[in-house]
Amino acid sequence: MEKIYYQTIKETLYHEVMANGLQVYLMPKPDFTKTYGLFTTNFGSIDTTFVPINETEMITVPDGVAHYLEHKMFDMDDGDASNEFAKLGASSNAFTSNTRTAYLFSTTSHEKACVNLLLDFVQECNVTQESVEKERGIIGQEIGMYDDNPDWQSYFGGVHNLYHNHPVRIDIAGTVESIAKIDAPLLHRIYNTFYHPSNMMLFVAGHFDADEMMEEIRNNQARKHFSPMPPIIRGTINEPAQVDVKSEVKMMDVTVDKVAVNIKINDTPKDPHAKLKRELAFTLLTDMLFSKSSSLREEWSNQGLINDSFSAGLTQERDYAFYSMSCDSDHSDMLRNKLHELIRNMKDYQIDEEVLERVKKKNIGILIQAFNSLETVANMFSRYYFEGINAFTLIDEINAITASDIEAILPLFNDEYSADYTIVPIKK
Amino acid sequence: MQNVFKMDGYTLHIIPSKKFKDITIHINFKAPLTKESAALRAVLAFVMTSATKKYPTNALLSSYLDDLYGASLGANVSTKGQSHIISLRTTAVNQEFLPVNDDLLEKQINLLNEVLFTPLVNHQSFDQDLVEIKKKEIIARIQQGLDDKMNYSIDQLYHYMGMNTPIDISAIGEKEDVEKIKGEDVFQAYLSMLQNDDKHVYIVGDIDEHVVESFKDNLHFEAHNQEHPVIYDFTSDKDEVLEIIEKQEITQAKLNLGYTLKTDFKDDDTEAMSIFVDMLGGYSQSRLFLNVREKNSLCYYITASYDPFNSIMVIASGIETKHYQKARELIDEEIENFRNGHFSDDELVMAKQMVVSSLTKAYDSSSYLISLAYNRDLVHKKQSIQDYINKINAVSREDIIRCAKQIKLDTVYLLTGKDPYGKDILSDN
Repeated sequence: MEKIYYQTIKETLYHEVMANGLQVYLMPKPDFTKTYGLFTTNFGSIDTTFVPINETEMITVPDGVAHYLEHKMFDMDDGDASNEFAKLGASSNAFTSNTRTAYLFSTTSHEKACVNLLLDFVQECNVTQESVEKERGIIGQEIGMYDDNPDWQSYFGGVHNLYHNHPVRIDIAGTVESIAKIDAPLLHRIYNTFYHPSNMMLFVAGHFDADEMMEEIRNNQARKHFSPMPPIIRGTINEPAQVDVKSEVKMMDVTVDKVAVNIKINDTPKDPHAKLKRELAFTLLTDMLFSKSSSLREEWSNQGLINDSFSAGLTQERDYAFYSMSCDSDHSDMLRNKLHELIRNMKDYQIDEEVLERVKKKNIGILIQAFNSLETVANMFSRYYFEGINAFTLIDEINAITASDIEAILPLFNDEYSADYTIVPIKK
Repeated sequence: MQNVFKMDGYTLHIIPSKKFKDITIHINFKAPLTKESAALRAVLAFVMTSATKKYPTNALLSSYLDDLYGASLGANVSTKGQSHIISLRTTAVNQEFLPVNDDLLEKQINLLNEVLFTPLVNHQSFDQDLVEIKKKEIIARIQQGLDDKMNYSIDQLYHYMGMNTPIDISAIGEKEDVEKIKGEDVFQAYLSMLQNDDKHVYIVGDIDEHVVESFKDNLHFEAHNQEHPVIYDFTSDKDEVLEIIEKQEITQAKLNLGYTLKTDFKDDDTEAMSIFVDMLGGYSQSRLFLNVREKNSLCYYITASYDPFNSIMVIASGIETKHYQKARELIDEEIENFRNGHFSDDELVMAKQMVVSSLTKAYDSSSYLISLAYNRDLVHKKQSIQDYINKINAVSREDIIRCAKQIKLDTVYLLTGKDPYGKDILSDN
């Protein structure tokens, strides 16, 4: 077991790779009462084209399978995993993102039993056709809930219009039509392909002894048999540089307009560190442009163009990236034009070193505070882990960002690759 | 160490803990709740935390905070029973973690002094431009609340259930009241807050008694002591259940039910009531979740929650319109099961464990620690987290049955799409 102490945040991280390939990271927090475990597979909603394990042909599966499987993983051969956690006084949950599926528990007692249960229920798939049928109504209602949510629609509508082919264009849960095609054999096929320990990572933080916990995990894994797994072959997506739909207006039963302007970023760096540098440069630049301390934000607020709902930021995942800016506005036409104009002018943006130092300080402070929350650390660690980055080093990485790193991303603000999406009230 | 200090016009609560990497301070102001004052106090709270005399624009104040390693300053407004609460909040990194030697805590407390005593005021009025910006932002929030159908449907339930009572008042007020507000009104509300509000200050982090001196230097108010009741025991004047059906262009129907009950935060049964409500619909092993969602696949979400400051219970769910009657029947059936004692001891034990576990987790969260303490300080209820846990553990089957018998359906609110199946929803199934 490897042990690393991080001086900046005064935290210790323990790491070990199990014989079956499972990566395990532990962050003991002896003065906390709580323990949080997060078990993540490198498999999300965009993984729809791949070669299944023990097969040779590439297949394409219906949108929403990763999320559907996540719902059904809680079926155990003798009950339900969340019920088992509840018996231990622990709460459990799961979520699916575009690139990951994660299972979690949170407890204040029986820490080892909870970790064993987390490993055991995720490392066995008990889904039957009957239970798949039953879940369809629940997931259908989940999709329906998002259909009526204007923020969600604005976000996913905007992302959808950027891409011609990339599966990120489809909502994580899929559609009522796509989930109709999902059955138990398919869920087993994707389970066997993507839930192999070598494609997964366990992170546990909280009230426990690292040596004892690692021993427990080692023993748990030694009891199970997994056949060796060749690297997963994922389909490559042929995605044109241009956006799919340049501009769209959608009507909903709402009272206020919502504007989203997104920029498709076509060349995502392969090297994890270069990719991280780009992401952090975007984070700092976004704060320089739009945080509450910025003059532009103040000007637009004073003009009534934007309000507190304004948000901007880069989304960069395995093989795609886009930059999004969105806000509710009473002047949606004017705001949309302003945002496009801003994109066109970014090539001439002058970096103020003083402002850069300030937003660096701010981001460092926020990262230090993130370590107050086990959930935040675990989720952050897991997100960066599959990007090839150790999140415990992020503070140093932010410190190292220079004005030239930020200059390097300015050309990515290219209005040729932007698209806007506006939601307006029906009765207009 | 003593941790409650009687100060000039407020009570200071010190919660020392070495586990947090930051220091959190909340200053809570409590006043009687009215529709007009909620709007006014929301504007006041957001104006005060946006600029001061020294930092006269939001950009300048925010730059200052960024320079303090992302220190935060903000306001939260809420209602509790018949009270309106303004909470001014700041957090800053514990200087121990900073690369430079800087007394952030002192700066944090000084900043609160500036926010409270040198606000952006001229000639008995808050800065009119700033007030206008904040009004717009609050109106935008109100509109977002209308556009979020889950939120809107709950507000509508409260409205029909308790028109013109505290449960029908939003903490940020109504659009028409916000629009009328002027800088002078905000200044009057400010004076009233300083003079009349009941005030509690909480600080959590790696601190010791020295911090009391710092508060002595920076924070004092003229004596207030305007006591008014916090808890509102909602009582209905309806003879029969009120059923409201509203239609909008939406996909998923929202079914919300409001119940009256006789147990408030100061009653002996309040812990039992919260356990009963959890067993009914408080978490993933609750009866409603297991039967309405898992067994019958009628919904994605269904929850029951108990508001001990208003003595009501609310069930909220998202369903297909055609399942309206079925969902109602299942909900009634589950409540009836509890009334007849048709639940297992394991279910009771499990619900108690979940609540105890969630309370224990409070020790790991500054804001959770503060909110647990404040709820009790508001009504002078002496109860430590451990006392609370002991009461939870003592809840018996009989207590649950008694609580289940106490609740009475008052109002049903359904927000539905425009009759997507072309038939009368009330006669389906």
